[in-house]
Amino acid sequence: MNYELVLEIESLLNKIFIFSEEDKNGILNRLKNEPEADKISKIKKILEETIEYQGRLIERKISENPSLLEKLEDKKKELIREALNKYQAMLKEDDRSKINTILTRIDSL
Amino acid sequence: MTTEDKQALEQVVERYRPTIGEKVSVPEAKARAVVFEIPQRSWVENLRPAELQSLNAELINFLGQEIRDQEIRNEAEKLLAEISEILEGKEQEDFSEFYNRVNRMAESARVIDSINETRTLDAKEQAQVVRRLRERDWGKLLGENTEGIPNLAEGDQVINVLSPTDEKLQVKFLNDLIGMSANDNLIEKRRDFTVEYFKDGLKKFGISEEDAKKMNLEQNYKMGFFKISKDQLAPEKVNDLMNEVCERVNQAMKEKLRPVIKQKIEEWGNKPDSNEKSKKLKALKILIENYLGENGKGYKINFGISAVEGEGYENTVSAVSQAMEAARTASILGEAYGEKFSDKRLEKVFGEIAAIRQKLINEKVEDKNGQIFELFPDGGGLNFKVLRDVRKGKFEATDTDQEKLDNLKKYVKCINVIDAVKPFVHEEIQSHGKEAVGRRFGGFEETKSAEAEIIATFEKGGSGESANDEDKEAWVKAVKEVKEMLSRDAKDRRFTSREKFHKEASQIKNCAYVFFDKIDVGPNQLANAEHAILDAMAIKDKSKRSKAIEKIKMTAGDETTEEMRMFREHTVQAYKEVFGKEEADFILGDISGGDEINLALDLDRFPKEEVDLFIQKVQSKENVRAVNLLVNSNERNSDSEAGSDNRLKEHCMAFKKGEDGGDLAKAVLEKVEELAFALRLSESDLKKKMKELRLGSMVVVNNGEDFKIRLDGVSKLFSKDEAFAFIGAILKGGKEKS
Repeated sequence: MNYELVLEIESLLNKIFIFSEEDKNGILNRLKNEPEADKISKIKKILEETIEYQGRLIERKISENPSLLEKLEDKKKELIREALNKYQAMLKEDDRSKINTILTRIDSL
Repeated sequence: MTTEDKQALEQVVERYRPTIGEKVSVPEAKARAVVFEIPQRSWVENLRPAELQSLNAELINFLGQEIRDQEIRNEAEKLLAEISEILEGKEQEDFSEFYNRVNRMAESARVIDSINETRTLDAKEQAQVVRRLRERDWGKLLGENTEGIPNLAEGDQVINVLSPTDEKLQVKFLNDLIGMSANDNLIEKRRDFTVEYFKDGLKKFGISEEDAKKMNLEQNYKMGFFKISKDQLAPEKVNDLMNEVCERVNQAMKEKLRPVIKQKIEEWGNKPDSNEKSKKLKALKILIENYLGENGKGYKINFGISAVEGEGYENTVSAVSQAMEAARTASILGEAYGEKFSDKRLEKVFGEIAAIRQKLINEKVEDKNGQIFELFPDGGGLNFKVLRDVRKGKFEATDTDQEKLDNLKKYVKCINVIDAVKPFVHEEIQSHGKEAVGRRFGGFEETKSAEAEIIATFEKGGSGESANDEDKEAWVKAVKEVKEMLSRDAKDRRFTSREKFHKEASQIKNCAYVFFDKIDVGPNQLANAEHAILDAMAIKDKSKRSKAIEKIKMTAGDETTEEMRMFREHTVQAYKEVFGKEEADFILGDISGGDEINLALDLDRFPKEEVDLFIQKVQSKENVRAVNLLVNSNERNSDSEAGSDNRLKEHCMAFKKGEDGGDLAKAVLEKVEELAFALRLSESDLKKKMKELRLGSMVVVNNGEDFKIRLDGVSKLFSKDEAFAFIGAILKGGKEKS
């Protein structure tokens, strides 16, 4: 597998919103078995163009419908809040276990 | 974190704070890393990549759901299809097919170049030359034998056999579905079966194979022509004969097509799922179930018969045109395989056109993008965009408008009944006759009998040791004529033949390709025919109407012929003005189908600025929206003799790349239409905006990188998105002002 190229493709696909999840997974799965780096590079170019197109598209869509930007901001805040909550929960557990590890280590010194 | 935990942590931090030069064990270092990392970072930085990605992915998905409308879905589908094609290697397959074709053409040009007065051709080369000579006109339709007797004369019945007109069996559709090579084989089979069953059928009437062979005038990829004189077989028997031929061809072709389709179903079945796959499988299964099964529609070809009623080319051309019209009438009215031409039947088809129009006159149709089209704006002809897309099979109506679409398809098929673009116009045939027919192939002065002599000489083979003086003399003359004839284009001798073009262009080391594409030639031709038919059908007086219909029959395609001539004329004129009179005597150009002219210019001889000027000059003469072109400078990497194969490959790559540029130019023009529609711009507003957009001077350029759009007087080169933004700004600006 052309590991690095496929990783690049994965990261590009993650930025694309005009394809459905199913289509994106389809492309990625097929690329994992693709031996020709040349083909992957061609696809990479198309995806880069797609992202460029998306940039223009979103600008246009927001100018046509300004409430879209608010919706996006709200969604972003909501997602960040969720992630923050998850992190705090995780941090509490992690901290305790890490401190325990350290204290055990200190005790064993 | 509890207060207790924090205190414990602080103690640890204090105790384990590193000092310079201190050496610690690995577990200790790890413990320190944990201690010193976590409390010092903000929450966002501490999000692990996986969580960051999932946050982004969720936001991206949300965005997609919010704004993914039909326009975006269409764009996405195109991009996904492009990706699929790359993954499936279709690009490669297409290229190989194209390269093989070009290679065959270049090879043929090499054979012509290698002929000389003493060299004898081998059998393969000889067949190749004779075939090319024959392909130069409407086969033997307007030809003569070596004694100057026309191949088609008074009393002859001309039979036209037309390949299937059903959209699922048409050449273009099958090319896309099963590939060009597989379809080329099928076309060849269809021709062979038709000729074989024709000869077979004639045996029953006591006509020898030798005589039957002479009755076969021409077989091309789309149609074929036979002739039978009234003395040889009575008209009603010709009808029976041809019905039987078509039925046998139908059965035989079903047997040939079935395994090809089944194989394709298997091939696609093994590929990973994609939109492309489901589309192809659906189309292939429709063919198997609805066409090739026991009760399927079959592989239906059609025939038409018409008699030559008098002497002279006008009568011959009339009979040939009528035979073609009868075959199309049969395919539209769909009752039998074919029929003898009759004005009544043609009028019936014209009547269908008027009836469908009447039925839909106040209707609108909605496409899958949600655009609504008035079908007959201002009570005139069919909406041009609808006409164009229905003709190409590209119009996708909503489910509720399917019935309207079926009617529209029939409407367009009916108009197409008089589709025959000839290399001459009716007036020329009337006034000059023989001279016009001789001249139509680009001004060769030979008579048709001289041409027949040349072919006969080549059929005999070269000038061997044993040839007598007369044969030798005929050979020397024929060689000279053939080299000249086959190096130049059959329609317009000022351009090279397609074969010569590919051979020579591939040898240019630093080459500028110029591809001119006159758009909407086909739809314009249909629209012209539509208007002529509607005008004729509106005439109440029966005899006046018949006269009008007669005129339509005779002049069908004349406007397109004139338009194509003018297009070539403007190109040659600009060439003369910029590169010099002598250069314009033999232009390295490929006239493709009439509406495209592809040129190769040696940049070592013609500076780039002159090439730009040349393009500008052609654009200034041709209708602004009618020319769509690009320039592609292509440096050859391979050198010397050994690299000639590679050079041909590079030439083909440049050619294929040219198609991408053409697509970009088309996309830009489509964008204008789409936005003009969305903004409800009036025709006059749009015309004004078009001037402002300078699209009449649009050149898609490529200098080794991506294609960019160049507009006259604008120094910036636009990418596709930038061009779209530019168009949007100008068109929207127009709306606000108005």
